[in-house]
Amino acid sequence: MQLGSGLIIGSVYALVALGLNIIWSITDIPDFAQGSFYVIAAYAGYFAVTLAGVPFPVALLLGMCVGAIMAFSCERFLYRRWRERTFRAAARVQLLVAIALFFLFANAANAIWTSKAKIFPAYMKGSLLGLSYMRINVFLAAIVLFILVYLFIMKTKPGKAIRAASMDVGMAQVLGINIDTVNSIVFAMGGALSGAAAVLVSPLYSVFPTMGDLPLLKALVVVILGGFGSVSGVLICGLGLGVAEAFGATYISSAYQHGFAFFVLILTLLLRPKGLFGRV
Amino acid sequence: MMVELKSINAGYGQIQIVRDVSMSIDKDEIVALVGANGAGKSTIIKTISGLLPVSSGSIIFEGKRIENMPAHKIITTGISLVPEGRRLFSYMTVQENLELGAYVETNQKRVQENMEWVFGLFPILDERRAQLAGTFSGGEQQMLTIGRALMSKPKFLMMDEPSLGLSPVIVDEVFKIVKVLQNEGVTILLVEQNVRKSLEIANRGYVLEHGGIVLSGEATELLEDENVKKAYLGM
Repeated sequence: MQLGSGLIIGSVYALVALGLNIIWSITDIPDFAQGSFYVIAAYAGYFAVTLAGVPFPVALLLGMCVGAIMAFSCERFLYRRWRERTFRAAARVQLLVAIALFFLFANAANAIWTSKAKIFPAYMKGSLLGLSYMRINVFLAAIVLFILVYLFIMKTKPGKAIRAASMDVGMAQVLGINIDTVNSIVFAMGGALSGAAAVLVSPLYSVFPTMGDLPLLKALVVVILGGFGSVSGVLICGLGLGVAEAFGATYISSAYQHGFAFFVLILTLLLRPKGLFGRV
Repeated sequence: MMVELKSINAGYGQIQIVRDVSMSIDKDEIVALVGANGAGKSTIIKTISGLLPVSSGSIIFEGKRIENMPAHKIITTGISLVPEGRRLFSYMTVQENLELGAYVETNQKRVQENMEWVFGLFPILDERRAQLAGTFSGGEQQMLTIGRALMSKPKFLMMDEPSLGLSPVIVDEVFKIVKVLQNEGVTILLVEQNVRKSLEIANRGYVLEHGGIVLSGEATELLEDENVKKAYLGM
């Protein structure tokens, strides 16, 4: 039971972390704003189901599109402006912009839809081994998305260009890889993954403006734990963190549930400064 | 004239490193650009590659101005780079590194042909296609770097310190390859700290000091020049 619910919440961390990781390793931007794309995508999914009455998979796709478009636009119209200028503070400016965007969108959600939690209607009944199908679906969908991202990154030509850019941006450009395109792709991908995580988890925990805070923080922990540039590292660390939290909450104290992640982070970095699967 | 630099000024942001440099390279030539560490050799290469902007002056390749072209477009004109320090994609295989060298080539058949050509020059790469580039020895990595640069079938190849940090046997091999490439119809700009060896295989040379060209001429003349002898050849 703890294992099951740990794997499910871990899937959410892993999905958000995967997008963050790819963006971070290529653009050096820890894109905090992903936490707010998560929120907006969840609302989009919620309204699609409650107002338009679309089936859940359509709402999921819509949430992914909303996340992708928001992330794509933030990169295209904001982060990129500072990348083109080669002054040393550029990375710090981007970081501040990312944090500002996170608060901006999350507060906008609060202003428009109020802080009252909205109940996302259940789309499926029944359970297996004490876990509802809706919970199991979160895990299955995460695995499918991870496999798709892995195949895209490892096997396709744009995927190889992304990997090359993550190792050496300048050299990638010299070989003819357009970094603007790479950035657009990775941001859209990251936004879509955050959006997917948000809509998948909404029927389990409802929709509210601060729902993105913890997944964002935990995903940052996962990225640092898993090490930059490692798809499998993110999956293993994300799931592992979810399970550790679930067991910690049961056997140690639920009051510290959200503290475990940071305890594990500090402990790991003391022992392995590059993260568990880090290569950079 | 294949490549022409017309009084370019370039550097990093406010810091000007290259001052009023003019150079030219004819088709089928090997031109050596020599000078001490920090003279600005790599800056010139990076500027031609589009990785650094020119603050003034122009770069002309086959009659077209390219100084304002974005870095990722430069390779499509037929220019390729063997960068200093190799800069291979260490976590990718030999084959993937070579494929990325032909990233702009959309014709799969031509990619295959270029790869055959590279494997002909460096049989070791063919034997180790599936190996990760990062696990290669220094000499092998240099061969792969040159192979990757050749995958776009360049007309003009810039080589930045290709012999740096290699054992004497491998250094000889690298210089031999430069000569072979010239015979294969590739025009070469060779940037080197190994002044003697590069002037021995080059047609012409430029000597760079503190960001400016101080001397240029036929390579054989430069080898005999008293200042070059004293400053770079230890004579």
